[in-house]
Formats: sequence, structure tokens, C-alpha cells
Amino acid sequence: MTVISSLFSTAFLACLLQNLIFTGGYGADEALRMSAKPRQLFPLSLFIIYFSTFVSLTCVLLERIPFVRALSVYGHAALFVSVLIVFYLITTVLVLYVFKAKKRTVRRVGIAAFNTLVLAIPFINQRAAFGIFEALGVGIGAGLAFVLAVLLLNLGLRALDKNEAIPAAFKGTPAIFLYAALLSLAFTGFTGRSLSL
Amino acid sequence: MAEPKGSLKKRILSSALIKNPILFEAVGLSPVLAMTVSLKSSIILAVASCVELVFIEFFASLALKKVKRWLRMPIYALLGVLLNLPVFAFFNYVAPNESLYAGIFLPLIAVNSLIALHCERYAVKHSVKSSLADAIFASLGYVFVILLVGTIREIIGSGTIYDVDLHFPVKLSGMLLPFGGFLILGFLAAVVKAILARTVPDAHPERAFSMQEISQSHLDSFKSLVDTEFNPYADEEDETETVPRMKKSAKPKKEKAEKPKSEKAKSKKPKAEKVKAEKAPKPKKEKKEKKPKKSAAKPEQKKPLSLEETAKLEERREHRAVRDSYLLDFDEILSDLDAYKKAHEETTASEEAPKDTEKGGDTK
Repeated sequence: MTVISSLFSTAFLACLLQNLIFTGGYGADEALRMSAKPRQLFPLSLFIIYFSTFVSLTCVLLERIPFVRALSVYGHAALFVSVLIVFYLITTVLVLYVFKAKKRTVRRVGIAAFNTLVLAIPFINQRAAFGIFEALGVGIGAGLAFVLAVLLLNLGLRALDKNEAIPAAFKGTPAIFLYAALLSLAFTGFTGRSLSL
Repeated sequence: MAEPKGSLKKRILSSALIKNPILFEAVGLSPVLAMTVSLKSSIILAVASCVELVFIEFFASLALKKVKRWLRMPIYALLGVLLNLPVFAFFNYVAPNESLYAGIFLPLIAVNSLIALHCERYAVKHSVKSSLADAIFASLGYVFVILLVGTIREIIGSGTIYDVDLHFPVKLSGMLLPFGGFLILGFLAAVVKAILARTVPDAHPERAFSMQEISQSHLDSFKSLVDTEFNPYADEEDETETVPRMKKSAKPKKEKAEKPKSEKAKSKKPKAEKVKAEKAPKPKKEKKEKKPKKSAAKPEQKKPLSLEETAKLEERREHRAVRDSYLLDFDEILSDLDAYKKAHEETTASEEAPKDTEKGGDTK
């Protein structure tokens, strides 16, 4: 029971209460760009969930080795990137030669693997000293947080594109940034942080 | 080949301002949102990003042109981590407190989308010299925004500049959170866009972030959950969809209006057959129509719309709105006619019924 509760609570935390995209800024550029072209959202999100979950799990298991635990921030960064590269290569070879996917899908694998959101998860796990199930929860929650962020941003973008009352200087990215700022402020409210505005 | 001065100025303007990686392309945002909370940490981020972008783009142009794309991606990440080590060691020596604050965000630059995007878009397709120039100009734009955002956030959020207290009575510490970063980026982008609109009218920086594919998403299936009337983007598709709708709704009603009741009963069977016959070829027709639509829509997505095209689109939308309202009115008139006809038939039937009973009584 504690296993399930720790998994779900960390997933809920990463997705909603501390949405990693809006309250941490991780993977914000990928989310913004994807929200403007969301045709491949669900395949990409699946790949992000896959990478964030498995990389997170592998890194937590590696953290149990005393030598790895003693590494500096940059030693950890090198290790996490290496794990990510291994997972990426295995996945790409599978996608390319076993499933014979299209080039576009292979490109999405690269975008899903090498972004700040996926690489930040092992660091978050390490800092919070999460166990296996918490790491699993954070991995899944990060992917869901990405989907939620893209859906919310997409809704806003479509409304902004429709709105003709926006001044010319604010049309395009300025309005998108301001909309993302409002969403970010809303999600920061869930964290319980004092904003002192 | 030495570049003429005019083109160099244009290129700087284009790479650093019109196609600014952060303000108009929304690339490399996460380190900016998280790290640019003070001028010192902004300088660390700026140096690290510039070093990585210039070196990796140079290397990509020099050695990765013949490597497959899916293999280039991990190489960028690996090079990013390797280049981070000396940069971090340098700042750890020069400014230990700031590099400690940078925490996990500095290692995350290794997978910064700015690097991958510029390498894939430019470095692997152009010469080394040209790629270096692109990296330097893009870095200039990136650094300009990072330093400006860092300075503004430090002044508003902490009331200091480069750790010197400005003795402000109010400090908005919320601006140090990612939402503050988004907010400042939004206003900064608007200011730069307004300046560009005055100085370089043909710039169109909004084209860097294409929003033309929004309507093409499969998220449209979720549309009905949120907003049923929302469909401002469908251009040609809507036209082709609404015309058959109009025909479907208008045709049977017209037939009903023209044919007397007795004929209706006779023509029931053939009608059903006709409907079956009509239904069968329809999907094929639709499929045939849809195919060229897709192929025609694709090149449109790639091309940025000119002013004339946008004006035409707006005109079309207006026409469509007028036509839709006309169709609605037409439907209403038809339904009124139907209702009137039914009422008329009922009254005539009720008038004829007593006559028949009277006649029946007479014969008896």
C-alpha cells in the first residue's frame, strides 16, 4: 500500500502540485513549441514518459553504488547523460530497425530523449533521495506534466490566435509568454510558495 | 569569400534580433527561466551557452555532416557535458557561490534545444565559416536577452544589481520564480517587436514561431469537450464540408415541397433505393476529394503567409460567416414552410373527414 501511495503521490506532485514545466521551467521550450504543432503530441509524450521513467529508475538504482553516490554534480551529469544516451540508442535502433518507423518518428525520439525535462528527473530524484517507486512516480508524473502543459498551452494559443483585440506588438510569442506566465503563476499557487507580490 | 558589410549587418540583425532564439523562436527557455535571477548567474549562463553553441556548431559543421541525424543527437549531448566541465571548473574557481547556485541548471545546458536546433538547421548544411558566424550571432542574441532578463529580475526581485543594494522600498521576490521569467520575456519580446516594426518594417519576427499547424492537430477531437463552436482555422476544408451539408438539408425539403402526398407514398421504395445508391459511392467521392486536399495543405503549412494572403483569408472567413448565416436563415425558412404545410394538410384532412362521414351516411 505504501508503495502505491508513494508512486501516486510523487506522480501527482510532479504533474499537478509542482508541475515541472510551469513551476520549474524544465522542458518549457519543448512544451511551447509542441503546443503550436501538436500533431505528434501523444507519440512524443509516450516517448517522454518512457525516457523519464526508465532513465529515472536506472539512475536511482545506480545511486545505490557508493562510488556513484560520491560523484560531484558534474560527475552525476556525465553519468545521467550517458544513461540517457544508452537508452536513446537502444530505443532508436528498435524503432528504426525492428518497428521500421518513419523518419519523423525517429526524429521525435531524439527530441523526447534530449530535453531538460528528462535530464532533470534523475537530478530531482538524487536531491530528494527518492527510492525506486518514488522515482517511478516522478518519471510518469513528468511525462503527464508535459502532456498537461502542452494541452493547456494549446488551448491558450488557439484562443490567442482567434483574438483580434491583441495589440500588434504583443501578437505571437509575446502573448504566448504572457499566457504561459499566468499558467505558471497559477501552478506556483499549488506549491504553497509565498510570492510576496 | 568576404561578406559585404551590408549583408553582415543584416545577418547580425536577423540572427540576434529578428530571429532571436529566445524572444521569437522560444528556444533554450528552461535555463533562462530558472537561472537568470541575478546578473552574476546570468553571466555564468551566457558564457556557458556561448561556449557550447560555438564549439558544438563548429564541430558539427566540421565533422558531423555525413553522420546520420539520429546519431548526431547523442553526440551533441555528450559534447555538451564535456564542454560543461571546464566551464564549471572555471566558474567554481572565480565565483564559487554563483556556480553553487547554478546547481543542476548548468549541467542541463548540455541538452539545450538551442544547440541541437542550430546544429541541425544550419551547421550540418553549411560551411565551417558560415556555421561559426551563425553560432556567434545567435549567441549574441541569446546573451543580450539573458543579461537583460537577469538584470531586470535582480532589480525587481531582489532590489539589487550585481549584489549592490539599490535600497528599493518594495521587492517582488515572486519575479525570481519561472513565472517572472515568462512575464519579463513576454514584455521584452513585445518591446523588441515594436522597435523592429518601426525600424525594420519588413522584419516579421512573429514568423519565427509558426502557429499555422495549430488547427491541424488531432486535439480537435477534444475540441467538442471544451468549445463546440471553435473552428476559426479551417479554410478550404470548411467550405467543402458546408456545401454538401447545405445540399443535404435543402434537397429533400425541396422534393417534399414539390411532390404531393400521394406521390410520396408511391416513391417511398425507389427513394430508399436511391438513398442506398447515393450512399454507396459517397465515401469514395469523399476519399478522392480528401487526398488532394492533404497534399495541397502541406506546402501551405511550410510557407509563411504574406499580408495579401492573410487579407484573402480574412475575406474568405467573412464570406463564410455571411454564407453560414444565410444558410441558417434558409434552413429556418424551410422548416417554417414544412410546419405551415403540415398544419395546412392537417386542417384540410380534418375538413375532409366530416364530409366523408356525411357521404357515408347518405349512401347508407
